[in-house]
Amino acid sequence: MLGKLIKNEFKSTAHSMFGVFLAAGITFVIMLIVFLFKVKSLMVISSVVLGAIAVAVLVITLFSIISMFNKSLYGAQGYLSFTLPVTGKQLLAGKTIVSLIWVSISFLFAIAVSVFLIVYWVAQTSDNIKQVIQSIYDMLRTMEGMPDPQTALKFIIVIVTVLFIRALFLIFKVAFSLAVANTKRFQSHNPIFIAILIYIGLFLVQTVATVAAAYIPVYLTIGASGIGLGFGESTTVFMQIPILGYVFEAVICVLLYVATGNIMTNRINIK
Amino acid sequence: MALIEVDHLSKSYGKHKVLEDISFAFEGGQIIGLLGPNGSGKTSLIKILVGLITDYTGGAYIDGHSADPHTKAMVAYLPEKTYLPEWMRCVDAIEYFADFYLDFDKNKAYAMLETFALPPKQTIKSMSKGMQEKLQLLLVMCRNAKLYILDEPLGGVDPAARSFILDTIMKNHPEGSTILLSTHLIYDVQHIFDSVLMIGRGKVLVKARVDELCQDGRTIEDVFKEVFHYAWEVN
Repeated sequence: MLGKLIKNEFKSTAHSMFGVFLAAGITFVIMLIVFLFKVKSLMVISSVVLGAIAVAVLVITLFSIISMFNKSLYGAQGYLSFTLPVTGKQLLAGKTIVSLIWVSISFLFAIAVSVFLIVYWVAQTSDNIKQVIQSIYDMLRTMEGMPDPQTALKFIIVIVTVLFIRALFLIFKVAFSLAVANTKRFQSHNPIFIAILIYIGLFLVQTVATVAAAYIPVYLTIGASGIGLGFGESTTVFMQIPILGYVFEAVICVLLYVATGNIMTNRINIK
Repeated sequence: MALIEVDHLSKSYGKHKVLEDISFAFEGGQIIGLLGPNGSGKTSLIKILVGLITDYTGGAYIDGHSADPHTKAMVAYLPEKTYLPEWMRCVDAIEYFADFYLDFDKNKAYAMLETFALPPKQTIKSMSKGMQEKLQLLLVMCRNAKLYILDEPLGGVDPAARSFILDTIMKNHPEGSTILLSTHLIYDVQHIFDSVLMIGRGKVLVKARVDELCQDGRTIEDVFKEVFHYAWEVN
């Protein structure tokens, strides 16, 4: 059933995302034409438009996620969602996985647009693009504490994991806030207003925990000697990530998932 | 074991009690009329049975289970509201139901689309309310469910549409299945019921088989008028 939920959630959200990706595709083609025919007057405008679309993708993704949880669960569509032969936790898991997929696509798209714009402008202003890229690579390679390729791969895995936890935490904050706002206790108030208040509360807890965690100097250290746990700050390594804040967020994610699933199963009244 | 069993069920909205310690049970294989005036708690009772309301006291069971994936798989529920997402087309809605309900008959659904004159590729957003209601009825009646729970399917439609809806329900529910149909428009439907449950002011006022209830020549509508006239008088 989870697979079917994911398939149908994806179909549902794809409708709101389709337009913005289509706009990006059209802009991309225009930029290539501008590049090939050297239409300098359109170069700036098309670059700004593509940048704006990248930002719009991120914003629309966030609103689609909120809508996916709010409209399809607690609006009239709740009559359909909550009478499907699935548990509340399955409903939540399906929506979370689809949200994660869209967040990933949006971030990858934003990164791809950034890289594309850099290359595009370098290509417009420099005669030898290969040389420019090589010099950027050389500069990175000779940086102090720069890890070897194997460690760099591990570093990328760590970064992806950290981003994954961040995205998951964001999704669960939205899901939990909306679920609580639609319980009997708060139903007589404006659910969106209550959800925003709960979200702010969770954000404050997260901020306090992050600040508190910063006082405990446990770092994931990435440097020339590899990757590992370290205590205390160091200036000779490539990067240090204060790890306790993310461990805390991962734990809270699990708690929010269980709590939201239980609220959806046992506490929701569909109006 | 009774197919539908309600045990000392109470439900209130703030201080207003809509269901007050009600109990009843129905065996399967019959058409049950859930009757009562507007605001008598019919929809609340149905929403508890299908799992859309969770804050109540007492028990409400289908096939011995409180609302859970097991009961949801065997209940075909038609709410009063239109609930399909706006982006869906008829074909998407059919595929959606076929995905989630093992008892959904996809071929029958496509055949009924033609009968109902519903364009397969038209989006819900561009449909009239009547078309949306037709599509929802089609989706529900294309399931080979053990229990159909239909909440006011005749409310707010003209007499011709009422007859069409009743025909669709009667022709398409599988033999041996149970229908729980709530309505306050008794005249049009009284002939299809095997049993009736009349609720008002939070209480069960009548629970009986139709043949017992009407043995003195009265119709269900007569009984309804009598019961609710009395209920309003004493309250």
